[in-house]
Amino acid sequence: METNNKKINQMHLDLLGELGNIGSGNAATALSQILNKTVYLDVPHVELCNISEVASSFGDPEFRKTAVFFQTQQDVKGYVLLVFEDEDVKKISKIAAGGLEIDPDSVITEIGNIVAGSYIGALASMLEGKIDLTPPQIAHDMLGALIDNIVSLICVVADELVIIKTKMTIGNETIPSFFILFLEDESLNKLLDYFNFEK
Amino acid sequence: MTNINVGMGEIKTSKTPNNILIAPGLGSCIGITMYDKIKKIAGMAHVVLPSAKETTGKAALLGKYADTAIPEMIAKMKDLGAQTKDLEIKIVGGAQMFNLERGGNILNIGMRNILAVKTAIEKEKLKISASDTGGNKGRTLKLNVETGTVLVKILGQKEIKL
Repeated sequence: METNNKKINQMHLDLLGELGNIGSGNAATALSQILNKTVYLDVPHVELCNISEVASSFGDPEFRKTAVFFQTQQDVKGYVLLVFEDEDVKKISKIAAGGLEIDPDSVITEIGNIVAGSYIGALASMLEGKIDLTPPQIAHDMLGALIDNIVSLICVVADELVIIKTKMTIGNETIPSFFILFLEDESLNKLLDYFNFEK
Repeated sequence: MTNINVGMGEIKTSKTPNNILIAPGLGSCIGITMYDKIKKIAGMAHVVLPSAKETTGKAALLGKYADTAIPEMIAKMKDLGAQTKDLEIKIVGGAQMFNLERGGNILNIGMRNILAVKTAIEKEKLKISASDTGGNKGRTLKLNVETGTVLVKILGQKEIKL
């Protein structure tokens, strides 16, 4: 893949994974405090994906999913998407609400906020920069439709994109969810600069 | 029946009767179908962005942008023997799933994609015979190569014939 001024190779992907690891560790801690359960976020999987395959890399593009969406602004420009199965939204909100009747959408939006906030917070403090998150938006729709708008914004130049994705385990239940970070070119380069790669 | 998946930025054509061209889960993207009803030749494009002119890079994937996808798609249809005058063209998609903003600008890619596809088709002096665009719901688009039937599915609704 060629971004504006760099070629991305496997070493870059591995290092972006490391970077994501710090973020997801932070997010897991925050979430486990809220839920009072053990929370694991898997070591982030970083991959280069051709746009024609990006939607299907997360599952059947036609299946209904719930997504919580954020834009990141300031020093790192990109998009965060948390994708859950509808069933898991109910499951998680049951755990979080502790017997209270709360709208699952509000619960999952708030959980998304915590996960994205702590992940991005870790990234910002490491880069010694400032990253803002826009307020969360929630949508229920076909997976492909939830993703393509964001992909279009990332792929104005390149036909491939870098995806950072993580899976979540709450208590002893694996939640087949995705935390996806899409980075705009300029910000991807900034992250690579952080590791002092030659241009 | 064999489903042929048309991913983002792809253009596929077929004249194999038991094929179905399918673009699953279109959000802000546009699925374009072309069908030569005399010769039963079908094509589908899955456009992601309005214009290749917006990029400074090389537009390698012609199917990604509305303005490069339409001429390329017509050329591919002709390669299979289709006649431009017999083409039935339909467009589907261009929804806005999330509110997006960058530098104070609202980014409604879906709407811009719809306009760009329409303009590109007019530029070829062709007409759109049916469309199902806009809104905020994802759509799956199917084109049956044998019959030319175009089906659109929205979650929670009955599949409709376009």
